This record gives sequence, C-alpha cells and structure tokens, in this order.
Amino acid sequence: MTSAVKSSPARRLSRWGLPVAVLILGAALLHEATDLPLTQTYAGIGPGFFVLAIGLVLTALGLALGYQVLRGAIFEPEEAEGADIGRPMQWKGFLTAAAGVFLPVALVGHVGFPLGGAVAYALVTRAYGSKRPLADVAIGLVVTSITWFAFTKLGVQLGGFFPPGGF
Amino acid sequence: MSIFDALMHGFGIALQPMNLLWALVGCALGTAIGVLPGIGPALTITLLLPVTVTMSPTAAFIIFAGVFYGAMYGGSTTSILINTPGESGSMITALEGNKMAKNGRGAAALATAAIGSFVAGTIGTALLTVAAPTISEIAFVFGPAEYFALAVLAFTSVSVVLGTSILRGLVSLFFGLALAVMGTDYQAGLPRLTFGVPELSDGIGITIVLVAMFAVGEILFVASRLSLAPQKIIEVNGPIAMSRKDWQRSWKPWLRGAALGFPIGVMPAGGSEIPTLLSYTLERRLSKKPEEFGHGAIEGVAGPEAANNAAVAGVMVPLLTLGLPTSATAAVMLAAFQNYGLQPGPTLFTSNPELVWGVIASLYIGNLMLLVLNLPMARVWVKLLAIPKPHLYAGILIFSLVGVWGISQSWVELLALGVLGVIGYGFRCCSVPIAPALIGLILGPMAELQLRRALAIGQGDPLTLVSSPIAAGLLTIAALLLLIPLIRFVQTRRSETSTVTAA
Repeated sequence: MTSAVKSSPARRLSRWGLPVAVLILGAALLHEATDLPLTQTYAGIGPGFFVLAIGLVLTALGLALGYQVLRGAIFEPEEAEGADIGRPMQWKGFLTAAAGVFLPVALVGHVGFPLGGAVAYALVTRAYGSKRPLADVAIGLVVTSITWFAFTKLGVQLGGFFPPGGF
Repeated sequence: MSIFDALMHGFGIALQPMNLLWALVGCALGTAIGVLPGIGPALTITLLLPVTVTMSPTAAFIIFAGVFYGAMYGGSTTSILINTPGESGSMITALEGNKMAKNGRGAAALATAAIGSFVAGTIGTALLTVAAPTISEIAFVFGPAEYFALAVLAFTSVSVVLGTSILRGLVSLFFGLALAVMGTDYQAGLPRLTFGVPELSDGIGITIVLVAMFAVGEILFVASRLSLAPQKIIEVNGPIAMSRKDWQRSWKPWLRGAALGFPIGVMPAGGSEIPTLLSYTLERRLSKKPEEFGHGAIEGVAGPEAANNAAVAGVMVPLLTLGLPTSATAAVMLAAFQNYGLQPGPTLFTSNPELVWGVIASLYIGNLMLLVLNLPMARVWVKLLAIPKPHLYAGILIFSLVGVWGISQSWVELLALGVLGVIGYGFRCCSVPIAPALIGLILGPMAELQLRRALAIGQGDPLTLVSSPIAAGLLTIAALLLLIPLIRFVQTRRSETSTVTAA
C-alpha cells in the first residue's frame, strides 16, 4: 500500500472528480425539472418528467460513486493506442493539444478555415512531440487548403478561404 | 416478392458502376481506419455525414457498410503485426496473432484472419438476408409500449455489458440521456436545459457529440499520456497464404466463430467483443493441444476473427428491422438514417426496398472486395503506420473541425466541440465507456416519445407499459440485466455491515 501513502493531496482530491461532476450534472437537471411541468392533462407525463427522472438517477449514481471513493476506489484511466497510462499526466502535452482544439473557436470565423485550421494543426503536432513549428504550420496549411477545396467541391460549406482578404 | 427476388433486385442496384465504386471507397477507407490508431468506424461514419448529405441514401449506406466491415479487416492486420488492436473486436486476435507473427508465422495469421473474416462475413450476411425480413414482419405488431421496452433493454444492456463497471456504464448512459433532452420539447414547445443560450434551442447536434467524445477526447488523452516506446512492426516475408495444415486447422474455427458471432451480434449490446472472447475460449477448450494457446495457435486467430465479422452482420439485423442500434457504429448509422428522414424499422423494407436490399447486396460484394484488398495487399496497408503520429492526430483534428464547422459555421458549435471533447477526455481518465452515452443520446428521444405515446394511449395508466407479453418480457430481461450483478454485489458484501450499496 505504498502508493496510498505516496499519493499527493492533489491526487487524492482528483479521485473525487467523477462523483462530484456527476452530482453537479444531476443537480442541474433537478433544478431544471422544477421549472417544467411534470404532467400533461391528456398525455400523462409532461416535458419535465424525463428531466426529473434523469436528474434523480444521476444524483443517485453520483452518491454511489462517492461511496466507492470513500471506500478507497480509484478510477484508473483506460488503455488507448499510443498512450502509456503508466505515465503521470503530461500537462504540457494536454494544454498544447487543448489550445489546438479551442483556438479555432476564435480564429476560424475571422481568418477562415485554412489558416485557423493550420494553427490548430501545428499546435497538435507540437503536443505530440514535433519540434518544427514553422514546418508544421506549412504542412498544416497544405492539409487544410486541400481539405477546404475538396470539401467545398463536395458541397460542404466551409466559409471563405481567407475572409480578411475578401475571398 | 420472395427474399431471393428481393436480393437479386438488390444486386441489380449494388452492381451499378457508381455503387460498386462507393463500395470500394467504403471498404478501402474502412481498412485504412482499421489499421490507423485513434480513429474507428463510428468516428469515420460521423465525419462522413456532412459529405454524404448530397448523396442518395443508398450510396451513403453502401459506403458506411463498407467502412463498418472494412474496419474489422484492418483491425486484425495491426493486431497481428504490431500487437495493437485497431478495433476493440480485434483485441483477442492480438493475443495469438502477434505471437504467430513473432514466430515467423505472420503470413499464415494474416491469411486465416482475412479468409476467416470473408467466410464468416458472408455467412453472417446470408443469415442477415434471411433473418431481417422475417424479424421485420414480427416487428409490425410493435406499438409504443414495445418500442419503449426495447429502448430500455438497449439502455440497460449497453451499460451493463460495455466497460468495466456497471455504475460507470450507467453514468455514461444518463449523461447521453441528459444531452438528449436538451433543446425544445417537441410536445409542449418548452425549452429544456438550454440555459438561455439560443443556439441550444435545437438541442445539441449528434455529430458534435460524436466527434468531440471520440476524436477530440482521444487527441487530448493520448497527448496527455504520450507513449515514448517506439512501435515495432513485425516484417512478414513471402506470400500471404496458408499451408494445407493451416486450412485444416482453420475451417472449423471459422464456422464456429460465425455461429457464435451472428446471434450475439443480433442481441442488444452483443457487439463484437463478447463473441470474439467466447470463440477464443471455445477454441481453446476444443483444441487437442490447448498448451499452444498463448504461444501462437492459429485456431485462436481464425475463430475470433470469424466471430467479429459475423457479429457485424448480426448488428445490422436489429438496426435495419427495429431501428435499434447495439453498438456505437450502429448508433451513428441510425443517426444517418434520421438525417435522411428515414426511420429504420419494419416499414423500411416496404417503403425503401431498393435502399435495404441494395445495402444488403453490397455487403456480399464488399466482403469479396475486402478479401482482395486485404489478402494480397496487407503489407500496403501497414505502410499507413509510417504516418508520423503528430501529423496523424493533427489530421484527425482537422477532419473533426470540418465535420463541425461544415454544419453551420458557428463558433458556438466549435466551442461545444471543445467542451465535450474535454468531457470525453474525462471519460477516458476514469474509464467511463463512451458507447452508452451515444446510445442514450440517439435512442433517448425515441424512448421519451414512445413512453409518452404509450401513456397517452393507456390514458396515463403506467400498467399499460407491461400489458403486452412482448413489452413485459423485454422489460423483465432489462431488469434482470441490472439486478443480477447488483444481487451478486450485495451478496459478496453481506459480511460487511453496510446496506447502503443498494443505491
């Protein structure tokens, strides 16, 4: 049981993540259900019924998970190809990849899909250990441009190629 | 029209040059994604949805079916050569197949996997041809109560079977159901769980959830725990073929695998993992030399590979006849049907015979194509693994962005993609299975609609839900699936004091 002794406070706290998240979701649904009619005159149940039922079950599940954690359960990550779950979490890799996922939210609408996508592309390659950011942006631009042309040709609307340039 | 006539009519459609081309595209794409890590058939079909909107549903479903079958073939290649199953159904193949490859028998392993997949896939498709119209006849008596019971059965079985813990399976299911009720209630017109955000009034798009949970979640997860060990691909020399002795040892496991895979695939939450595992256990028990298992027994590749392909054919039966998805990929295909305004179920066979039979016929053709694509060309597909990982995962993100940005060019949806992606990351960190969430999201609205209908017909009497033997039977099975593990759990804990576990 050396691992239990070694586990840092942050690690012990993180075990509560799943039950707490499930409880919050359950509470949100229960709160919403109070604003919705539960019954309808002719149909028996109204729009609130399902929300209430799901909220109740999620709350119960959250409590059950919390009980498991109290008894010492640890929710291990699952196996995935290319991942080594024995390693501790790499925040740098995670945050870089997350930047690649979230930056397009702000970028794509303004600078267009190809350029916004290329930035995301380079960030993900960086998160996966590539050390050539400029080359990756260039490769990304080629990939996103080809994708843009191909999908636009197939009838998928991806907006302008480079809106600031007016095309 | 007899089944035979209908199937011949289907071949007339599937053999049209364009449809043959689509089948080839689907099979090649399926094999490729089966080989590549991080991307599976469910995600691929999701990303194809916006592209296929402009196609006829028949062409689209011919591609989807090719991807579904092809992924099973491709997954076995990587299992054997690098010991990483591309698909969950190929996990068992990795056990024996990789050992065979290490012993210099890679060619025989690849051959028995590909030929076994072909044999079992064809048997499975033949059984599908016979079973589907028959089951769809039975399904005509299904009313709202029966459909509700069917959805409940799908919910419980998916949550119980998939993943390591029932509790976490249920968390995933109810997360999916919570997403399903988001948006405007269709009966009363009231907004539910929209939190005042106008973009959420139409609910959350299935495509966004799928792409986020599968692709973005995977990208974030692998980035946070990147493996530093280099991949070792085992070289295979000589033609991919089997000796006479290999054939003798393989044909019975193929047939037994098909016999296990198809019926289990038909059952709710049967999927392809359980039949492969059962087939492996069965072959080991029947083998005259069980000591070979674990050291590269060809039966341990032949049986499970046959089982997973037959299971794929089995999964198509409840999907086409009842509109009931029993795996993540089938759930996406159901969503695709809904995109076209089609409702799979008994009426589909009479209202869209050219679609149903064209797709079934193309399954036969696709299996043959896959045999040709995989047997002589296995080495070519392995070359795909030469794509550097940074660029592979970056490419997956780009296609995910296309899939979401292409729907409505809204930054709100890109934000939803990111947020749900982080949730998908959280699911992976705690080993919460993703498939139950998808089944909940896709079947949730159907379950609620049918429940309301059933209660409206029964004038609010809840007993109406169990008034027919079919509905009562389905609900009983669903309850047993949940209760039996729970009773066992309580029994093992009886010595301890607490009774709170019943929660």
